[in-house]
Amino acid sequence: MAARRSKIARLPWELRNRVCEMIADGRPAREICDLVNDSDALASQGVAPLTEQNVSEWRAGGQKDWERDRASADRLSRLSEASLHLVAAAGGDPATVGSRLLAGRLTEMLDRAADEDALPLAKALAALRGAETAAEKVKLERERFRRDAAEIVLKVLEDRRAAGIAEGSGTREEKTRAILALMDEVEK
Amino acid sequence: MKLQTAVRAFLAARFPCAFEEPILLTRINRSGVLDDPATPETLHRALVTLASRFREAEVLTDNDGTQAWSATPLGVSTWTQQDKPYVGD
Repeated sequence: MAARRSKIARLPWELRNRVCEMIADGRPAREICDLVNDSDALASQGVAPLTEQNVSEWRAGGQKDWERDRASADRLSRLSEASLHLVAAAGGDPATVGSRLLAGRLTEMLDRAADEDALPLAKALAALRGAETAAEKVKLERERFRRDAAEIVLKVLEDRRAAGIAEGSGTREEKTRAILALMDEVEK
Repeated sequence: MKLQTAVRAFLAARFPCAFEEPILLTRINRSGVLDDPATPETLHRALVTLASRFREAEVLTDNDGTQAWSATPLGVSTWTQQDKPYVGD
């Protein structure tokens, strides 16, 4: 909340918060003044009692700061939930301490980002994980292909006919077709 | 704002995220809401009180021994009843 030196701004936080709640609830200014003046919060500071005019001025200024802060608090809650979802999407277990710590750092980063940057940033992080997942899948598929190919080569080599084909006459193309035919046979 | 209230508000708004004490100290002092600046000692006392006496915060320990603090659902409930005071930049 911006620094304000009005009477209400000088109140202890709990009492000021109560005043703001009463204003938000539409309580009469007289009732608010009675609450504040019945405490010694202003008198102990040598400040004159709160008036309805003071409340009206606060309504136009400090009260808007308070309402904005409440909206900011709700925004933070939403960012925190979103951060933990992002961490989970990246493969983290949201129940672990490490993930909750990471989500905390992510929340702070998103909170500091300007509103127009926060959503694209969150989407970019989610997309990054998507790209990493796709790359991992390709890598796994390649590994699987290499393993399958190696097994077939081994089976072919174990078959004496493979050596006969390689050492026999015929063009390279003919030998290749013969080996492929042998591979089809051993794969059955 | 009193330190205990500020700590509860900071953690509750960011639940279920967790924060180490040095980060909490920096962020809460920077928010400008405190009646008096927090020190590492006063912050730690406030956290321990929130956890042990009110069950509104909890300390978490990572596999590498890192300790972090988070609000509990009860802490979030109390914060909500207080109309969600905001502690941030």
